[in-house]
Amino acid sequence: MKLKDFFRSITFRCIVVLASIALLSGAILSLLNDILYVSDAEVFQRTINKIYTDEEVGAEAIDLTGLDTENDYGSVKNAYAMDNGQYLVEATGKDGYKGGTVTAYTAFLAEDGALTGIYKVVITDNVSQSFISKMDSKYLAGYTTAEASAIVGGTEYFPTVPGRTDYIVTGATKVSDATNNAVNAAMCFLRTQVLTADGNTDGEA
Amino acid sequence: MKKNDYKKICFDGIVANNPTLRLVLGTCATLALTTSAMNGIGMGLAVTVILLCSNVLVSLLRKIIPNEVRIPAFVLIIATFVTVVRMVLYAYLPDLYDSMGVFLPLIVVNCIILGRAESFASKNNVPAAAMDGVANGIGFTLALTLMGIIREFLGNASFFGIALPWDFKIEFFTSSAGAFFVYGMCIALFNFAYSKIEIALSHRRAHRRALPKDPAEMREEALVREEK
Repeated sequence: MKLKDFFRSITFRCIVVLASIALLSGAILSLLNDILYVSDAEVFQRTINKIYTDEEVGAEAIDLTGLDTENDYGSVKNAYAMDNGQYLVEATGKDGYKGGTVTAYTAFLAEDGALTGIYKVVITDNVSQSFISKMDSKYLAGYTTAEASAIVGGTEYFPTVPGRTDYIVTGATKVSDATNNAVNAAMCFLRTQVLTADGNTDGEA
Repeated sequence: MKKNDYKKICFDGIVANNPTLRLVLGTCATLALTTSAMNGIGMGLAVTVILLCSNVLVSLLRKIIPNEVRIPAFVLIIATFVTVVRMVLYAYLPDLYDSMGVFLPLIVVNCIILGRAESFASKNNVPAAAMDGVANGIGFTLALTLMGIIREFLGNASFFGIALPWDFKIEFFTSSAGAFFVYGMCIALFNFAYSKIEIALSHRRAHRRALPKDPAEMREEALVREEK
């Protein structure tokens, strides 16, 4: 086939049409991506609104520099000291389904430099957790019960060992583990790094 | 295209060829997202917007897109609109975006949209394609909303998120098995009602044909014949 014939062929026409559509789509999407961009601050504000539905609460970020954000349960991404005396921690729990993770915001109640319970848990992200939809509001409400407060107020952590009956969802045991680990990672971080024995409760390292 | 043709397109999309209850298309989203009426409406409206836009663009480009690459071209067009809808929902309706989860990007492979692009929009003009998109979208939305209302009412004792005064609920209806059960019942009832209406209409048409013609109508026909 000569070059001239190729440019007149249906093959060339197909390539041109597909490339044109792809280019035009790309240009439109790039433009819209810029127009409809949602900033990190806006995403955080949305999460705050989900947690504190009835009141407007201000947050002061805890400086994580020099603090150990990794522990046996997972890692802490962000931590905040709230105006109402609570602590809000964004943590990723490990050991989920297919070795994946669950990321959640946990709002902890605190009194006199010690944790006393959990106000709310909101899941924001996950990796490979195909049954994450089973972690509904009913399951997450389990973290705010008196039994859960006893765990948070003591020295224990939410169980992720086989044979347990609490804090799991049937059919999504591994996702429950990762969710428990996200809460545990946040709790461990607060207990060992923020609310330390020397009475440092204002979140400064 | 005549006014009656548009009526037929509309009737086909919403009732006669309802994508969910007659053609059983888009089943994944239907089963997964009808746990509440609001989810059903949200998904239905998202699909309607994408159907309308993709049908219009496919119809506009139908003489430009070579037959050999029509399916990849349609998928590219649909994917673009799905991404736009995702961006808009994430920016302005984050709760709905979260509740739709993975099923929002999966609209790209929804067979209703690709099916309408391939079987209708690529063969008809823009107004007809737009009407077809809207009609099928409305048919899909109505079916999802109906299922969402039933499942929410029975499974969560609420109506569009508003809690009902009683606390009687059957958890089965919020499960996957409940979704299949409600879907099956909706299909059965819809097809039963549709066949009854169709029989009644065909009887009426047959009865009309059997009746002697109106004298005024006969005079008009004679005039038309004479003019010819």
